[in-house]
Amino acid sequence: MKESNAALLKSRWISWGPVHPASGQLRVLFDTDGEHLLGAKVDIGYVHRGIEKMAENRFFIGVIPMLEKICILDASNYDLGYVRAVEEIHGVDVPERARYIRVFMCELNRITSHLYWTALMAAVTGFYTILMWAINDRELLLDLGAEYTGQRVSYIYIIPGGVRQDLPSGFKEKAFEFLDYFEQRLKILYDTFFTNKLFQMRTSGVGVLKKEDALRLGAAGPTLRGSGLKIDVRKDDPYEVYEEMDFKIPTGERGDAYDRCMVRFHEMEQSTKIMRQALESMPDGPVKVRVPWIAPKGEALSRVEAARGEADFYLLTQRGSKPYRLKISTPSFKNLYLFSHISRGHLVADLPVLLFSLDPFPLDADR
Amino acid sequence: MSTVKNTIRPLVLAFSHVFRRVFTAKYPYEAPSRPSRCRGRIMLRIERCISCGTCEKICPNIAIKMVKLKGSDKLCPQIDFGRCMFCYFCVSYCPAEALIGTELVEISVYSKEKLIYPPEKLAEEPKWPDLLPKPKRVKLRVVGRRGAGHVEIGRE
Amino acid sequence: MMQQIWDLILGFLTSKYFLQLFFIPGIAFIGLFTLIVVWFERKLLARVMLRYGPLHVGRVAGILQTLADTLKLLFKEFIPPRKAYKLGFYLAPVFYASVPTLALTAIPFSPTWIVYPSDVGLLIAYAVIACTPILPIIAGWACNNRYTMIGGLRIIFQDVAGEIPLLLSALGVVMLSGSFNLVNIVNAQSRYWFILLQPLGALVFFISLIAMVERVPFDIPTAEQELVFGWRTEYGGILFGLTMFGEYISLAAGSLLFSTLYLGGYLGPNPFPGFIPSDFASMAWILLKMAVMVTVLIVIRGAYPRLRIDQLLNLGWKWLIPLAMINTVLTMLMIYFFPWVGGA
Repeated sequence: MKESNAALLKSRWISWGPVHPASGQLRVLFDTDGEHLLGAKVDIGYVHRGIEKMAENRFFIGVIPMLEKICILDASNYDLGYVRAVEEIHGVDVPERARYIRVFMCELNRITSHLYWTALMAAVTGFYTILMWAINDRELLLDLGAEYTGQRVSYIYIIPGGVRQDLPSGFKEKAFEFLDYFEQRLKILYDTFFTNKLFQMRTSGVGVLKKEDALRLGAAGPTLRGSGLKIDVRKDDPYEVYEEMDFKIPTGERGDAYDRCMVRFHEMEQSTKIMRQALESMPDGPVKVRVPWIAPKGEALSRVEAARGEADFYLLTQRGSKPYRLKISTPSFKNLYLFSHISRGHLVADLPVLLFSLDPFPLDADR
Repeated sequence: MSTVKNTIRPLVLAFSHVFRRVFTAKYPYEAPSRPSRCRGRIMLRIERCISCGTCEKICPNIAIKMVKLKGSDKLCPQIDFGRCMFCYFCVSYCPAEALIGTELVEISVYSKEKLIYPPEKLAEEPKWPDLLPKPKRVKLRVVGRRGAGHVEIGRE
Repeated sequence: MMQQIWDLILGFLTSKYFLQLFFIPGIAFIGLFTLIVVWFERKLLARVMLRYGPLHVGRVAGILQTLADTLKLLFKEFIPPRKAYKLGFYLAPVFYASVPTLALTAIPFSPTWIVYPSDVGLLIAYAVIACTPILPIIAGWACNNRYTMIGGLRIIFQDVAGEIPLLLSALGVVMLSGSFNLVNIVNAQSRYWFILLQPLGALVFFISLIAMVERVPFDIPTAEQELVFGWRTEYGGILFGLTMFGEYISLAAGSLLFSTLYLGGYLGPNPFPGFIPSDFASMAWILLKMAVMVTVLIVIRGAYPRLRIDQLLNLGWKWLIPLAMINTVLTMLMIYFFPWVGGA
């Protein structure tokens, strides 16, 4: 009897992805007893592109467009991390105005990334209305970004020594108009989606990640903060002008999927606040200084708080025009590692909710 | 009580959106206006090109190759838009401002080879593809109580 | 002899049976209903989502889009899985599409316009509704696929959780009207619609109805994100079209049943009594009520995410069934203390 049960179980490993309506470019292997998950593991590596190695064959500036493709939803934050490492090696001082524009840019990207996640989270719970609304609202912000960078998603705007171009004239008014509207939309999203009773039922109590487990397993970003830990590079190790900004770090209490969702929602609110402050207190002046083509020998480590969590860039240079070694540590990889831990004892129907409450981005995990 | 509120409110809000402005732009009948810094198809001004090859060196994707112009020995860039990712480093770093940006992004074709633009083709003015109808230009605006949407330019 | 046969044919063509078979609630009605309601759902849902929806096919607002899609499905090849049980695979969607139409035979469209007039019309409708879930289970099993099997198993749980409150909540209506005959039930509502006397029962009936017709938030057996397309994963071409057809006929039958039980069915004022036959006015009223019900169901699809199967079971067993029982007791008390409320 036991053997036959085991044989049955063996044949019941079900692949969820990489070709599946909701999986993304990764595979989840799960074992079920009826509707109950006996075990689940994430299989990544389908979109590995060797970006770290490719970076060794590009000029310092040529690495930027490629780095954005690690996590295209969150391009600027990744740019910033790398660019800050390059600047540290060169020892250049970036003009004040450029720092404000960078912060504005990064927060804009954080919101667009979180809105995209909102859309995905809504889609995996079968709530297609919010999928459309979130994508529409994201469109406004993409339009705003295109106004000063020229591209909607792949900005390639932050470069060593500052930013590529100054903001266009009349940008401030347009930005405030859009931000006002966006705050209204956030409220509607809150009322329709985040406090929707059925959404609360779907997510609360699912995938509980306790405080000590979050620390032990190395969670990052909103996933970590959802477990109640106030850890954010923007506050702990402030870079650019985050010190001067007034914002809070939202945290959860129970560490379940609903808390992680709410952390991301409140982060969007805080980011709008930061964007307003950055625009208001932006000084005049140049936005770019010259950075030499050839880098000296050196090494640098920079941390940034990307939308999905902390991303670290370690850059090693010999004297030359190309990086000698670039090591990137990305948040999605850290968070996907948690999946088999938090999926214990849940139902098959929880699988997409569990996965997307971590906000994974397979390209980000594979690099 | 909050349970009832949280159940009914989404329904009311969802229904109220029926009367809002439709967000979609009917592309290609309506094309959203592009920002002035839009990074579209790159255009070459042959007479200004000094054949320095900076664009070829800076291009992160090896999309640019210096080739001889037809009937002369002058070297000018040839861009493979199949490889190009429109970072515009070549435009930014061109010392003679020979490469300039345009707003046209509708450059899709049926074969990869047609995306390789030799200097002569790069020098042509960008034009809206013949296959598509002439679009109305619309703009994303936040207007009034009916929300954001695409509004025809000139009729805001 | 020829004359007699001719008269017979002519008599049949002008008889009520022919009209019932081919118009309401026959072929023309169910055909047109599915074509229009699918278009309407796509269009209304698109507006909720700030989109346009179908726009090009059929000149006006893409009204012929569904017809075009149906034609496309008709011309597609259907490929059974290699290890499928072929008979079950082919027959399940056919019956899934045809069985719910039987429920329409019990619905009165006017006091006399009813295909199968019976004293137990409500029970007939329930019997048909109870038949439909068997077919997806057969289909899910016959496809020999893990996703379809899980989808089929979910249907069993869902229907058990949804059907009992559906039956129990209608008990109040039966008690108030004193009859299982749907015509009597409608006539008993000539003073008040039962939704006013039985708000709790109507709510329970409505929620379990959504669960029975498998719509959002209870479209658990076909959950796209978990089970690809549930028990329909392996179907393509017109077999898939038939499963969709059956779903929308269930929707029509459910909405008609709700209108009949709680919204006064065919009752409604005839604006031009001499000009419009009373049968037509009655049909117009019940179809109007059905349209309102369908609209509400569509907007609900746009406003909620999907629930989990265990949550549906909790809802069904821990909330809906007790509420339906409470509703029955309340109705008893109401009839005991205020005997004049009932129509009987």
